[in-house]
Amino acid sequence: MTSIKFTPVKLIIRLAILICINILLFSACSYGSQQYAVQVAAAKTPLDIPQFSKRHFVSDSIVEIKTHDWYKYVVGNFETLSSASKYARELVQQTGIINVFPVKLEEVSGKFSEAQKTDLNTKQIELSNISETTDSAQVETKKIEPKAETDLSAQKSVRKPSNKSNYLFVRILGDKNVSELKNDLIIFGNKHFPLFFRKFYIRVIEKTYTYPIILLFIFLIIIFIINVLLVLLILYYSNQVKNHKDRYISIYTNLYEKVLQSYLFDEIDWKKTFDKLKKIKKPLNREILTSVLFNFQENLRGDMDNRIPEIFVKLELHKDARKKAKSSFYYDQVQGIRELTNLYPKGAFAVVRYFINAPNDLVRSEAQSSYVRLYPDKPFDFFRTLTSPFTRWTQLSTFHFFRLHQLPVPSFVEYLDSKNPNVRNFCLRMIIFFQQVENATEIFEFLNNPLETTRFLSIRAINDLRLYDGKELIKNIYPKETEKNKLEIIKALKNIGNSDDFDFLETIIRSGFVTLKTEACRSLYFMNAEGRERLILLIQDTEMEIGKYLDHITDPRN
Amino acid sequence: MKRILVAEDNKLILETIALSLTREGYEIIKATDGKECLKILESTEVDLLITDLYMPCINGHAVISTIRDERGLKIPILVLSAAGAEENVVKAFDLGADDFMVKPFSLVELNVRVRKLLALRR
Repeated sequence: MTSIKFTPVKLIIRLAILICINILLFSACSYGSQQYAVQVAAAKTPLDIPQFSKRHFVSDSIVEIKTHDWYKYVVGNFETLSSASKYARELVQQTGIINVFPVKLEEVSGKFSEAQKTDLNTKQIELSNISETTDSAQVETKKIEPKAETDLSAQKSVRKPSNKSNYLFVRILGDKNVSELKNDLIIFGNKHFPLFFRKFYIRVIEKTYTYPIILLFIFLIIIFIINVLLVLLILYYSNQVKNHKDRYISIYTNLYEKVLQSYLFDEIDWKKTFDKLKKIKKPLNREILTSVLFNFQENLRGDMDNRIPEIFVKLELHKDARKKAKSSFYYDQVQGIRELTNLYPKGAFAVVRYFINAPNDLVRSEAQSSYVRLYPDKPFDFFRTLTSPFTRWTQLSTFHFFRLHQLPVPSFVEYLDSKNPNVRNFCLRMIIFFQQVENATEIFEFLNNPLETTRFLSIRAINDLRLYDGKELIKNIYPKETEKNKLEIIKALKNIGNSDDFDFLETIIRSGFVTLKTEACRSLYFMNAEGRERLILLIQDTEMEIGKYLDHITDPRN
Repeated sequence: MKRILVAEDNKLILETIALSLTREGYEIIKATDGKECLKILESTEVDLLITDLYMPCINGHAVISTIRDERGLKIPILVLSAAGAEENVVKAFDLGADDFMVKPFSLVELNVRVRKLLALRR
């Protein structure tokens, strides 16, 4: 028995570690960086930026940031407060706006202190006069380039604050596009990311725009290399752990096999055996021991039938198996049921009964197969309480087990009254397979069952068991049947029909579909000599082209 | 001392059979797959072959077929397999197996069958 466990928890933990390390790396790189801008205006309603720029000769790009009820207008992007203050003073001289002051970008985008709010309130009074036209559209951020030809003189004297250091970015995309991209990224973050992540995200964006692009690339390459190294490290570690575990399992499997062999061949007594079974208190070692015993039990019988379960109980491994069966993980439950059934049948009865209707397919299937094994006298008695599906796979497994161990065949008619359609259909199949002819009357009742498959199996049973009494019944239901069942009825007539059915088959040949017509011809041809004569008579009717059908059905390849 | 070659991929069963037959006084040669089994047969003369059907590299059916058809060896072959379906048994006998035991098997029964096959050979 091999114990294979899927451990998604370990995988998730490793991925989580990787993600955490990445977040920490990003945080570490962006931590402590502050961005400053110069606020030139704030208002409760949006301003007409081009008009404002033109009026005050502001040559730089003005960015509108909406926070709470305020529309704030800032220019520039500075790493230090002093450079922002310097630029604010220059702006006062150039534009004549008095209430110009440096702000932290982070605060502008959401963290204004109460004092600053009050300050802004006073400033917006002046600005509200300027704002004659307001845009009612809820645009989060706008950036409008002022007309350069009107402000050439102003531009020359004002220091360009935007992405100077990031010249490669600017050269490739253009100053305007770069700023727009940055604003778009920030807006995207504000709209889509949760609050706790937004701050970090904006900081990363700002940082990205502050450093030269080459540094950014280097940073990304370093992050990539660190990631690759981490993945390799995790792979190496996982591989080491796996190899170590495999070696450990191999060593102890060999040890336990030899010790148990010696015990089973009466070379050593139990006391010595117990002493030689090292580390049996460790869960992994107990699993190895169970696996060794399971292997013995699966392959050997005779004297070993009793001795191996005896060892299992002596080592109290049945308690572990019970624990597994009680586990909330389905694979442990399956393993527990299997171990108990094979190595401790006494303790398996209650567990197996409990899981007969388990919602998990695998657990239920294991319990049902175990039931067949545990109750060889009445292997299918669980049908009486089975309300859950009896899957095709379990049907096959139980049937295989049943056949392999040559168990006595029960009368499946006993279970035909089950309300479970899977059980009924399985019983019908078994009745056909084991040729349980004595169940004829019960089979006829299923000809009116609402389920197509059940009716199909009943017709097949009538055919295979040669239940002549059912012939008229299947002929009666023919008009209402599905094509599949109609075909089965025609096939049945080949075996249980006689000259009384010629007219019935001829009607099908004259009016049926090609498949039904072919099958009807076949039934007529192979039923008896009279049938063949009747078919030859029909050949004379050239319109029906019976000759072609006859060629087809008499061809040995068909 | 009679020499028996046991070809079985399950090491626990291989060792158990070997131990059981050794105690009966036979010399045991072990092979863990069909390829190794055929290789041993090339260089060593054995009195009986016990083989599984499903083994790595070359399966039991192919081993029997090679022994009988290609090499023309007349050693008794006992098949020991969990694949006890009718078609497997019939195929094994058709190819030239002398006996078939289905797993799980009894070691006592195995010893008896081995003794019987070796006696018949004599």
